Amino acid sequence: MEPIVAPVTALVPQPVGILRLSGDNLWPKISPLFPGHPCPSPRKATLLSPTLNGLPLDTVLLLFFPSPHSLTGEDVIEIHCHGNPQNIRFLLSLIELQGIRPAKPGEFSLRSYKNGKLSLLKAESLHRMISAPTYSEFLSAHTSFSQPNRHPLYALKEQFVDLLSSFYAFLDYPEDLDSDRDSHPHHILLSQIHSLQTFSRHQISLFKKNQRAFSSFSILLAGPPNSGKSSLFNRILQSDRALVSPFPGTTRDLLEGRLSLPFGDLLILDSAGFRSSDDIIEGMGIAKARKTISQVDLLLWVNSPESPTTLPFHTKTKTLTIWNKADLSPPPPSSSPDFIVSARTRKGLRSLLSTLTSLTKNFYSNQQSTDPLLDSERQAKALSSFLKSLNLAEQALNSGTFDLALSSLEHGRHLLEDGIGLISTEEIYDRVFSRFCLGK
Amino acid sequence: MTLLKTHKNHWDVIVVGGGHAGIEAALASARLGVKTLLLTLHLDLIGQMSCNPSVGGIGKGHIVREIDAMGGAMGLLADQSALQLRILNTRKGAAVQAIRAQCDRHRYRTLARQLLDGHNSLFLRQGEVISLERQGDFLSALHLSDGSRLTFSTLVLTSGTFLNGHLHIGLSSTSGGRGGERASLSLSEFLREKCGLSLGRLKTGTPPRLKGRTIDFSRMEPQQGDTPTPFFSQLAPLPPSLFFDGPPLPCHLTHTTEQTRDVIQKNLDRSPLYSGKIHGIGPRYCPSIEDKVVKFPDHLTHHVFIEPEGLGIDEYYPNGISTSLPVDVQELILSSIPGLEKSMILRPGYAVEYDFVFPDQLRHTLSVKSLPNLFLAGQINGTTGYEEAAGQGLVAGINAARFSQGQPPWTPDRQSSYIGVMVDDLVTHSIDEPYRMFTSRAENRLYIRNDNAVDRLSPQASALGLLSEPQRSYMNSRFDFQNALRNTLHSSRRGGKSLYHLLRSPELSLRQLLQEERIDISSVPSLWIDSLEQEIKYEGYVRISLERWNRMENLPIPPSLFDQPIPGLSNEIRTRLRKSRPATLHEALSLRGMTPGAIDLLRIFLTKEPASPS
Repeated sequence: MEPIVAPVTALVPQPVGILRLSGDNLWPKISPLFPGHPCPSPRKATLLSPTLNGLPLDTVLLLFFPSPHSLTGEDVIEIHCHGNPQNIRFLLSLIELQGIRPAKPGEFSLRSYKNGKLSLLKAESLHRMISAPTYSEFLSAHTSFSQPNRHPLYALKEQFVDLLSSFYAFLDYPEDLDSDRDSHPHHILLSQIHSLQTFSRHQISLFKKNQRAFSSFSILLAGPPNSGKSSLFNRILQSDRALVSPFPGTTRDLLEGRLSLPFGDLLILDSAGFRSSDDIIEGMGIAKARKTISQVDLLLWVNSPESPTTLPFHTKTKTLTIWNKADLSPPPPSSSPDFIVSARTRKGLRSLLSTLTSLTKNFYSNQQSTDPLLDSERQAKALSSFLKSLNLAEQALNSGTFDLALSSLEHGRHLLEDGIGLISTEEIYDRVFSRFCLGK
Repeated sequence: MTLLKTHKNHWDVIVVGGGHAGIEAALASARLGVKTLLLTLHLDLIGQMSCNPSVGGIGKGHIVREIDAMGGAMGLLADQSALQLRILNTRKGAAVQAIRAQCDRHRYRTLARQLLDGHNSLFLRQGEVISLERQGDFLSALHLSDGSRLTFSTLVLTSGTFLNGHLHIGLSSTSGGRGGERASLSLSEFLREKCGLSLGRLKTGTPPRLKGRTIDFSRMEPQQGDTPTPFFSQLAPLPPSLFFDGPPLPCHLTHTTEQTRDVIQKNLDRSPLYSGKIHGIGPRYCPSIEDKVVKFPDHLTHHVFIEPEGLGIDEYYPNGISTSLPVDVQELILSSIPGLEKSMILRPGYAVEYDFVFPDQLRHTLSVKSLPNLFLAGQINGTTGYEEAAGQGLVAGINAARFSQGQPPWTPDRQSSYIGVMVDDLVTHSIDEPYRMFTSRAENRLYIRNDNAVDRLSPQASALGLLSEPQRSYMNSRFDFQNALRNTLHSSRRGGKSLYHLLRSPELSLRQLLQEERIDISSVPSLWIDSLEQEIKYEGYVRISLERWNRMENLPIPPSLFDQPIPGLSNEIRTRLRKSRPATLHEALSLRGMTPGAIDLLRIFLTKEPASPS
């Protein structure tokens, strides 16, 4: 496929930055950056200098993984350069000038999947692994990633293949399995269906419980315009430089910053991304503000001497009030803010940070399970529709129509396959003959 | 050429083999008016039931009804030689019910011979084929061991287990196709060497046959046939009763014991299966008793069904203990089974190994891809069972006859018949163990039912010219009756809803409704009523399952797909796809060597990315 490139480390000053490239016949395309140099040996670190008009630009380590033994199955090249953001940007632009386009989000994984290097389930476990806010969740995702048979959908599939094989055995061997002529062990089939239903419901409810708008402990900064929310946002994030990685808000029109604390990540959202209206919570309509506030774990309501206001509606979300710009003016005696700070002079920040830290710690203290879970909304959807076909099969069996029950289950097989990939018919027959002694 | 064709020794179609595939092939060809010869090693053994004397069962019984709806022989022969018939799966829904008949083995053979004798364009000949002549891509003549040379336009091979057959009893083995019959040695060599076909090896087996007077039936549970008796055949006025007076003959059920298990475990080293003498692959679903004991050591007992072999013949078939152990061990096994302690062996059990042709070398017409006038049917294609063989014989016979007349082929459809499922499975999947029909193999199971074979297939058979005049008029009267009744049900209303609509509810039966509406059906065959009722009741489910099928598996693959690289498919699979160019995802699914991952990729490719216009 056409070659792509992306930085895989953040554009912040750090010792090493890594660029990754993937595509067919990759080396000839970037070799103009390394004039006169032969194609590096596969899987060996090679020290090189990209040059422009004879001028060496940086000293980099280059790793070449020829197809098909690579992350994506195509040729992959990794360039480890010095991690100065300007340097990385310039190298990127040079590479793009060779006709290699920037990768779209998730494009490397997509290629791995399409080239059979990564199953859909694994790709989703990988995604959950990378974005896990705590180590226990990282471990949970890694368990699914490294041992696919421990993924809940695999456990489900195993039980389901058992169920289908029971149906097939009872269907095609009435004489072998029915001691009492033509009665079939209804209760065996029903109990297998019930156990699958229970398992599915449990997994779906676990997923729903864990499913939140923000996967980490999340804090929203809100308040009247010009109360200094953004300065506060920056101050909180910059409190620990090495661990900060600010990135633009995704779809939520919010600025997001992540603070990685030892027991779990803290996500800080700044509603000051909007500056277009005089609305009481800048730019966000009341409805949207209500919604965002209900999705976060903590609301920091920021006031300042210019135009102090109170939150115009009631919320169930835990709220802390902050008097910012305390260096300009102290809070009026009528108000009793939880924190009095100055983002400019850093007054009161230490006390605010230590409270945020302990709230984060409390939040994660009861989430220590490393059991594998469903990884994505897609998996949960597949499981829900699978559950519906189980329910139909249960109904059909209860009203005595075995053939219709089986038909529902076979449909369920396809729905489950949407979640986990193909279940081979051979696998089902193998199960039929290994579980039942059939035939005369 | 014209001179040759009128020659006495030239045949439009020659069928080699007089088993169940050969009978249907020869009859289908003859019914199409084509000059046909059936060539067999032994004229007295046409229609031999070499395994147990029973026809039908789940999946298989469906095939028998389909053969009958196509004007074939098996349903009639089974009905008219039946000792008892019964319906299986009566409580699992109409879609999965089927008939099983216990037959008089000797009468079945006699009736088969009489049926073949009755056709003007069909001739019989005893003889052993020793060689074949090939001219380019066509076979043209065969030589018999008696020195005759016969020429033909098309050839149908239905040689069963006789291809390089080897019989095993204990550690001794002899060349042979069935107990007491010799094998056909040179044919397999010809197919491999001269025709370039790839052959594999399979095995199957039988239990010892027992003398009835030495069996103690009082210690077994009798299994009666159904009354009123159900029959397979639907294209003839139903036989009023079984061929003999008195009640249907029962089968009997007994079981193996722990002692049986011990005997077998102690003597496994004398089994050709477990001492490495037999290399052929046996069917998992029809295991020998030594297989059952080895694979399921925790099962203390296994069913044994004692089946009568004929009326007035004192021979019984203990179904469930097929074995290739030596005769002295067979006797020990029998003495460990309640009721068989004192039983005497009439013929010992044996295993047979034989060659088969990997069926993915065939077209859906059952002709060999590389040799268009050679057709293969039955066990030679790796199947087991009389019914599976007969179903293929029908397809091969029809197409052999049509090929000899320069007519386009006819192929059964997977969506509308079990025969279609079988042929499609065989030629697209190929096999690695003997193939048996299961109802679980049929995706469109709710439609291809036991009750509607005539609706599904008889119009096609009639158009092909396979039905006799009485069969056609019987089909037409059934359709006329059902159409009239369907109209009545649509137009009569009760509580604002049509009777047709009301019948969809599982609680209401058609018979009950007709009684309430005072419509007299006493003179109508009950199956006419049943099939219409099931048609109405299953209609909605059939439609849903067909929609699912179309959405999930019947995705068309644009031919342009094979000419572009499909991201992620290995070269091997890409080559396979290019070679066989499957038309739908389902066909691709069934290709040998397709991995689940590859299918996933294809499915995602076909559903997510719009096909490029080309």
